[in-house]
Amino acid sequence: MKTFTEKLNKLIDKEIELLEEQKKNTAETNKELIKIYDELKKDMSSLIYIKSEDLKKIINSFKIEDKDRLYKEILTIKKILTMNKDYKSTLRLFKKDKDSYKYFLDKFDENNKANANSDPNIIKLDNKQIEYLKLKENLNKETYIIKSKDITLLEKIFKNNADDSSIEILVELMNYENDKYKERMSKSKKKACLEVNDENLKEVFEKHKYDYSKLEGKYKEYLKEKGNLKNIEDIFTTLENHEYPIIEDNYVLTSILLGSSMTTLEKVTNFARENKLIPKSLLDISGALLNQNNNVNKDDYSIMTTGSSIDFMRNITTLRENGISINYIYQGCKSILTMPNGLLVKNLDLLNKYGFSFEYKRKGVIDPSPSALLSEHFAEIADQFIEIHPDGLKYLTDNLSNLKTVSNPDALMFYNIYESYKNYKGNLNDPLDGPFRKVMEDSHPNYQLKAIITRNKPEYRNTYYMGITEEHKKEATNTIDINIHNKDKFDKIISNRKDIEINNSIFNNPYIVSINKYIDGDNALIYNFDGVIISRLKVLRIYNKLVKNGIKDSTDSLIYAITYNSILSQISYEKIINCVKKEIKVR
Amino acid sequence: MDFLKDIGIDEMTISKIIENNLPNVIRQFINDRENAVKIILYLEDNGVKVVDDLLIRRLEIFSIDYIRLKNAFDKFNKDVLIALINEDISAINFL
Repeated sequence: MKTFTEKLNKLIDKEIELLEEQKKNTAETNKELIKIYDELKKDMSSLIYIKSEDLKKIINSFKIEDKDRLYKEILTIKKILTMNKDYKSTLRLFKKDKDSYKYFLDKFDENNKANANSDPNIIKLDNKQIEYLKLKENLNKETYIIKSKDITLLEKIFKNNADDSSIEILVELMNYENDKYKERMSKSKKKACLEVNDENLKEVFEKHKYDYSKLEGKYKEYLKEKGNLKNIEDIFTTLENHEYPIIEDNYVLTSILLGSSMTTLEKVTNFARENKLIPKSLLDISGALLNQNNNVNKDDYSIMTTGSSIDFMRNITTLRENGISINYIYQGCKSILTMPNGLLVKNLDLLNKYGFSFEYKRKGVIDPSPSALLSEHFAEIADQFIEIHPDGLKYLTDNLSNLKTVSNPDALMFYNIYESYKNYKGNLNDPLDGPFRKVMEDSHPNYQLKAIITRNKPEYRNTYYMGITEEHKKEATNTIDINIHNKDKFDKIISNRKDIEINNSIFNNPYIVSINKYIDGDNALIYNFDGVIISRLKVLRIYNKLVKNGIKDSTDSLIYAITYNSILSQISYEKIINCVKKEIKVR
Repeated sequence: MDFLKDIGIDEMTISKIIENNLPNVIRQFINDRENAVKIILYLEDNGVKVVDDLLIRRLEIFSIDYIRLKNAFDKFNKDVLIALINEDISAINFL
């Protein structure tokens, strides 16, 4: 119930009363005017007793053109009569004066008669009263929608009654109208979208030869809660137009009906056709048919409606530009087709920079290279394999998929590899010596990690290699946490994962140039600081980012870049510092 | 991911699968769930003890056609290959 209604009614009643007062006053005035007329008709000299301003008002109400002239003439007559009375003068009125006076009386009489029937002033007041009455009636109806003319009237009311209680009423009214507006909008929106229920879904499904009853309960609920009937209808029509087969999979069907649109379907299907992919094959990568949404949420509904239409089209182009067969990817690693294009482009670039090749396996079904493209930590993991063991890069090249399967450069596995290398006597065929074993694949030696290192085998899961546990990995391997001056500042810059690139200008940076002498003669991917292997691409990338973010060249920032993520002993760390300081001092 | 629970994959593995993979990869996996289940059961039946690890870290391979994968396996000395896979999941790349 509206609490302000009663108060508002009172205010409106008050206005109506005021108008009634004005009507009465006007009627009174009209009666007075009749009296005045009668007197003036009887005796012209009554003019003396009428005030000039009243005379002006009377003449102004006449419906004539020459009101000013008539007023001047009657005023002159009044002055002559007044002077004759007060000063006993004998000024005469000429014929034209008498004619003017007669004209004046005629018009006065005309006006009085007209007002007696319907005074336009009173009519005006009458109409205003009717407006207020109508407003009052409307505002008391629950379903009434306030109009702009109502607001004009309400403004007048509140202006005339500008006190605290009126302001309260106004605020209440505004809030009430606002709530009603919101309710109306949501109703009309729902109405415009057409309510989605079992009945009309069944109708639309059947119209397009789909069996709604085959849909599981949870998919029906999704459609009813989040579906748009018009969009669903359009999607079915577009699927038919492009001769898509009936979609049997409920997950795929529901996701398309919820997450796609006519436009997206048209665009992607046409694009795929141009690239020799038929509609049926698009259903196998149905994420490509959904509206692009850059989703990072991982709840059930978000996963189901993860849309990659734009990524898909860009990925096809990117793969072609890099000479990679779409069919090969479709058969071997479909997910690449719908992955974020930015990540695909970045990883292809890193694949190139690190010197890995995307060679197709001649035979075989599972190719490690495509998995590598899905990595979210490509560079960091590549760097760690390079640094942790002289054969780390070889192992990685044989098993590029590790760029995806390993996601933490500080993983226990790396400490295990580090420790086993410390004890390595150089005999790869000795199962107890070192972290790797050689497996011959078509007379090609392939490196694999031993179970004791990966701890994958169930018998190793509850044991720890050389006592290396997650909590004590540094102590167990005698490696250190590196503390550099301003480390926190540098960490903050690097932790922003955007634009971790290598700009060409960094190669000319004097501090980078100063350590060029440590680039390994056999492998340009590594620095060798007195036996300590460091990934060169890592140093360039990290230092580049620091410089780009305003960090001045310094030994600290360079050593930070060199030792970033590295698993090092104190001795190795000191070797690096000595090498760097030697070069910086010399400069 | 209820279909994984139905074949005995535990909640912890399921949540690690979701944590470690891009949304589009997870979606593709669900898209191919029938195929994935066949692969999972085949691997388990043949003595692979690291199926959880494979799901968490190589989810994308479960979208490869099951028949192709099975045929590739049949060409190998299964015992040796599976022993290698159980040591280092990278060995699945031999297929």
